[in-house]
Amino acid sequence: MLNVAYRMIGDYDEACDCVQEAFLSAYRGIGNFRREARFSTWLYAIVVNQAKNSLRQMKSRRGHESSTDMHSRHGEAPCGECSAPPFTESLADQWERKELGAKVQTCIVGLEHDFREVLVLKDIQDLSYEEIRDALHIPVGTVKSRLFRARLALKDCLAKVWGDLK
Amino acid sequence: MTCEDRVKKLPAYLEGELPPRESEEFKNHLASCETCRKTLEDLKAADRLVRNLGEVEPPPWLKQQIMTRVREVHGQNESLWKKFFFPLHIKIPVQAFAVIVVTVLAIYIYRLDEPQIRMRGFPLPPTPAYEVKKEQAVPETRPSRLKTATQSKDVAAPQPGRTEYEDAYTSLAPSEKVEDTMPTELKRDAREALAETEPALAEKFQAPPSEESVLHSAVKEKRAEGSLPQAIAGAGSGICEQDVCTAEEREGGGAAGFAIAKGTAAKDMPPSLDLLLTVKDVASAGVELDKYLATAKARHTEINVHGKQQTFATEVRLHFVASVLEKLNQIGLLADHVQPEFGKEVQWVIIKITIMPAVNQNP
Repeated sequence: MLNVAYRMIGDYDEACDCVQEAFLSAYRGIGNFRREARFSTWLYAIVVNQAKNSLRQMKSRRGHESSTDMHSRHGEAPCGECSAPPFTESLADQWERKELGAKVQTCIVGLEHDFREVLVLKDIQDLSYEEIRDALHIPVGTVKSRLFRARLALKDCLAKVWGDLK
Repeated sequence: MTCEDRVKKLPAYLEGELPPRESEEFKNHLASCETCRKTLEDLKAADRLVRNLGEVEPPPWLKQQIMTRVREVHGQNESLWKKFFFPLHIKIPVQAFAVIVVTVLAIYIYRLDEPQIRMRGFPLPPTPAYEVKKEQAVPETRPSRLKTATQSKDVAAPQPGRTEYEDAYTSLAPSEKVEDTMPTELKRDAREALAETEPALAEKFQAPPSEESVLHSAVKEKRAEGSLPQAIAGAGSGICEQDVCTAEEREGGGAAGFAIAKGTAAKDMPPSLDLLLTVKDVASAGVELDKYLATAKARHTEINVHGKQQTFATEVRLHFVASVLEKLNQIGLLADHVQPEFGKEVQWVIIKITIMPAVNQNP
């Protein structure tokens, strides 16, 4: 859940708060859970909605900040707590990996919200189209359409900040 | 279709979502178009980068903090529940509540089973003094009333206010004096007392309805009407000449005499024998007597406990009466009693035994 929140928000602390709020919302609304979908799918939906709220609150708090500052903040790596590298990896490789992850994260956060949530759930969380449909309450066709556009946009973004992706 | 249009469909091509024909066309185009091929490679690389992103590790405090906040929310809900149902905030420890419940339950069960415990002869704590007085008062009156009712000779004397017809009714043949020579009020008292102490026997005494009750109701009616002598003068049979005839007897010319009816009632109702037994230990004596009555094939045995006394009411066959008396003499000190002479037609005898402690008798 924290992974989804972080990929959606791009801020580690905000993602932690988002996950806490999401679990509390789930606890309060456990009676509303209908067994039409899996429990994890229901939780993903809550986290995605909570991430939307968190982003809205962040925007209102940082309204005076420029969008570039936002992007640079979002691009920060999560204090070394994510993607812990294996010990065999050299420091240079670790640094490169960290920088690469930060750039990818920057591009993900730069996507439109509708595209971002579909991309995160499909390409990062590896949910099926049907699970995404249940979580976001949109048709499968819409899921696919948004996903393909999100991938193109992400490719363009990465090519822009990275240069050659090969 | 231009390359720009094809690029927009490249993700769908990669995902295998294009129709086969279009997919084949894409394949051919990619083989010849460098730009589209490079875009496809970039898409694959971007997809790899996204999929290779590591999992974000949660901070160690996150789980604990979530659980703390969940408990807080749960506590808020619980406190609302408590505020609603326990507005005075009275807190009783669970242990104290359990002790109270167990105590009340134990007292209730003890009260429920006390008579059975006494009957089985288990040692019981001494009864408080005020309860002893209260309980002793009851058996002193009841057996005396019963005794008066059954031993008719003591009460057969004429009483003031009784008419000569009622006196005539009481002066019947000795064989019929077991009950029928008793005054009406005393008989009624005896039945009431019997109904209180021995419901089963009282029911037996009541059914079939005794002719004597019909007789007395007739007497009362005639007395109220002031035509009693004429009613008696109209009696037909010799038996009715001695006594007051019932309305049926008068109408039927004395076809069924009162004495015969009385004899039938006496046949239905076994003669009774009241005994007083003094023992050292009432409980054990009661148990022993109960066992013996079982071996003597007694029927309708009922045991009542009144404080330190026990009362047995039972029916035994006539030939067992002597052995019962002998057994009672073995168990304790049997008080002097009047043993009536039972007729040959008597098969069962009601024996009523009151067992009293010797300490109370000779303090």
